[in-house]
Amino acid sequence: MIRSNPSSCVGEHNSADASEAGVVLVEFVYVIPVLLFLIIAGFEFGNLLHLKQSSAFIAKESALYAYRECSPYHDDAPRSACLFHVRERMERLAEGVIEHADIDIILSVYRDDPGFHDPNAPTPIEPLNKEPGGETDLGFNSKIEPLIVNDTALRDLIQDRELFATAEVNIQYRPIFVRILGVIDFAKFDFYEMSIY
Amino acid sequence: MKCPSTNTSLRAVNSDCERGVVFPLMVFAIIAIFAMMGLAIDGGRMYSASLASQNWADSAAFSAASQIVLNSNDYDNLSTTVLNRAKDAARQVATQSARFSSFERRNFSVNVSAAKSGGTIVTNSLVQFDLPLYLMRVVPGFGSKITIRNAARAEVTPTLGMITLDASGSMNCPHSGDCSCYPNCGPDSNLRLAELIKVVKDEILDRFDRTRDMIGVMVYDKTVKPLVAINPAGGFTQLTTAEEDIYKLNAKTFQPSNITLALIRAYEAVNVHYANPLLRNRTPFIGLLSDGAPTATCWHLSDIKGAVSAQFDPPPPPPGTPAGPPMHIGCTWEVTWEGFFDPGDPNNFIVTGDSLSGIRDDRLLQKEGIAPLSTASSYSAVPVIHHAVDKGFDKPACSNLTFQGWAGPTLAGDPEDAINELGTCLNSFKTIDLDGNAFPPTAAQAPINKPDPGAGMKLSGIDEWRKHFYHTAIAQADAIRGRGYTLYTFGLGQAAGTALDEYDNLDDTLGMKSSQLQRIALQYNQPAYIGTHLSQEDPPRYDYPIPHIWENLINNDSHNKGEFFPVDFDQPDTMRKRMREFVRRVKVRMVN
Repeated sequence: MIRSNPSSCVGEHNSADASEAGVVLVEFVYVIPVLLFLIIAGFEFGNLLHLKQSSAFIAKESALYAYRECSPYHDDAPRSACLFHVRERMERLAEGVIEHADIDIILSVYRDDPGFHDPNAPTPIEPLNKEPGGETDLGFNSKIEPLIVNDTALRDLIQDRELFATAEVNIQYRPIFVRILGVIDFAKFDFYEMSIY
Repeated sequence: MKCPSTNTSLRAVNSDCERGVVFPLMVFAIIAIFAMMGLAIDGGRMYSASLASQNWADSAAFSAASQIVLNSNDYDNLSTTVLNRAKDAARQVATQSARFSSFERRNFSVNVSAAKSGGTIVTNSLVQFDLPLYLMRVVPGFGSKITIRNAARAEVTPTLGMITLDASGSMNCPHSGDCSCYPNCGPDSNLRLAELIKVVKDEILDRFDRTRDMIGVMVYDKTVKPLVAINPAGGFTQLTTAEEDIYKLNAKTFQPSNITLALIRAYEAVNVHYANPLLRNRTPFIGLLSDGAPTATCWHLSDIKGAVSAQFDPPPPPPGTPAGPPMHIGCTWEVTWEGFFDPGDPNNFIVTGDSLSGIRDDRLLQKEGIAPLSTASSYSAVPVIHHAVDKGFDKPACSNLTFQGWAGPTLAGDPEDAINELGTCLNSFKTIDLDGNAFPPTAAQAPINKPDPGAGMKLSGIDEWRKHFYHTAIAQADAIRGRGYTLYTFGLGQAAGTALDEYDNLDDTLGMKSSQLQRIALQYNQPAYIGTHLSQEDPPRYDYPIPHIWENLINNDSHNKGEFFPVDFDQPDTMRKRMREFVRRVKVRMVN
């Protein structure tokens, strides 16, 4: 570079830039992770809100759907098939609105139906999408089912309504940086939403 | 020291003259960063809590409306007791829903109100609670909590519909389930039919508002008779004890259940009112109550030349329906069996002058679990064709007609005398099987007992007849649902197929609906998608042979759902519960 006039502003600037070129690079290297973090954090935050919103929506729709479709059945086979069908359908719907997250829906219909089963107790219908007596594929448990036998408030509700359907939606989400790094089970967010109809 | 204000170079910023400037900047920046973090964290929580509590409010409003439906049939005079019960139920549901939420809630409250609005009762719910703030409380202007409020609304809507009750032979069994007295059980034996009418009166009619809900009741066996008429001025007349008794005494034995005709008549009766623009906002429904399979049917004839349609009064199509070819949903012929099975000998089919088919089968299927006989050779009787003179159609008219329909099986097993009954009509009667081939309507030319139903309905024997009864009933139900009606079916067994769609084969013991209707669509080379199929990639499930109907379905997306209530007619208590549930479904609607 030719410096024709060392005292000029331009020359001064060029001289300063030349001497601080490495500094800017170093600063930039420092700043980049922070910027990336902020960008990813913003992205993730939006994602989490979206998942929360989706899970509330799916819970409501699943409970309504299960209530309308499956509540009349008192026999095991068609009832299970109906709940299974509703769950499959809602999970397909969920897959359309949720990306990069796993979803488990636990559907149940609880009914106070003396005469068909135990005349003294409401009839808990086994929630679907879980191993009998165990947890779902993603490791969730129904929060309602363990309470249904002894909990007075829930039993009152069943007896008052004669039946209701519940949907418990569990969503498991792994943040994008976990996925980028390929680290499994490093960090994940679980969402739970339920709805009663 | 005075700092030069014009020098903006990096060197100048780092100069001594500006030392100390960063500190206050950092203070502001940290406050701003914390405020933004607070906004993000607490704002996210507020948003999430708001989403969740919207669900609680929805459930509450729905529950309140349900309670009003179940406890009152006079919406002009809702009692305090009814209102309080509705409010309690709503609070209960919202509280239980909120209980499973992880949000900290302070001062949780659920307010519910119900008000008459025009012809409907509207229930409003308001769920409200204070959500503690974590970080935003340090930001000036925000307190330590924020109030989350969510409201929802549900409606108790006036209805328009027809309840059809099965009065066929098997409904004359006592509801105790022991039908050994049949066919001489008599009216004092607590018959299924008598019990059914009682239950319908208590649980359905008494829960409807007699001045607003427009409800009719019909009974059907081979034919259909009105029991309670829909009042054109609105509302309905109550079923009287006299009417119950009259029908109970008149209940006949050995009558088949013609579900197809019941659906047609119910549709016609309701559609007269649904055509009224003032009633267009109601969702019309048909409640079908049957204790077994359809055992009689009507032929569905696609009236290519429109000649038959001219003789009938076609139902008015919904507004906006594109003009299509003349349509006929009608019962031109009734096909039933002549005779009945000897209760003492399952292999003996006793020919009688009265028409009957499925009594023995129903009883075997439902009570004894014995599969029906599968070959035509087991039966000593053959089906015959009767003119349905009540439709005003008779032989002379048919000389001008060409019919195209899926009538193959109807004629396949017929003896010559039944064929002869068609007389000159036979010449113009073009029978086409499901592959689109002309089908010879004589027994001699028809393959008998061909085991593959997919090859067309060229079978004969009881199975084939049962399929035919069944498929006409289902096709009729699909057509009605395709016109925006909701169909509620109570019963066990095959009747379910009239209401179900996605998982219809659960109770479709014949397992034929989808494939059969697909074949019909293939015949017309125009597949139709009736029902709630998920995507175009899904196989077409519900196809209907009358082009006008599927055009309507595709263009207007007017297909409505059916719902199936499994009800054992011998268990009145369960039946009552299902009917209460039915009323709740018919009348309660969420309002967005």
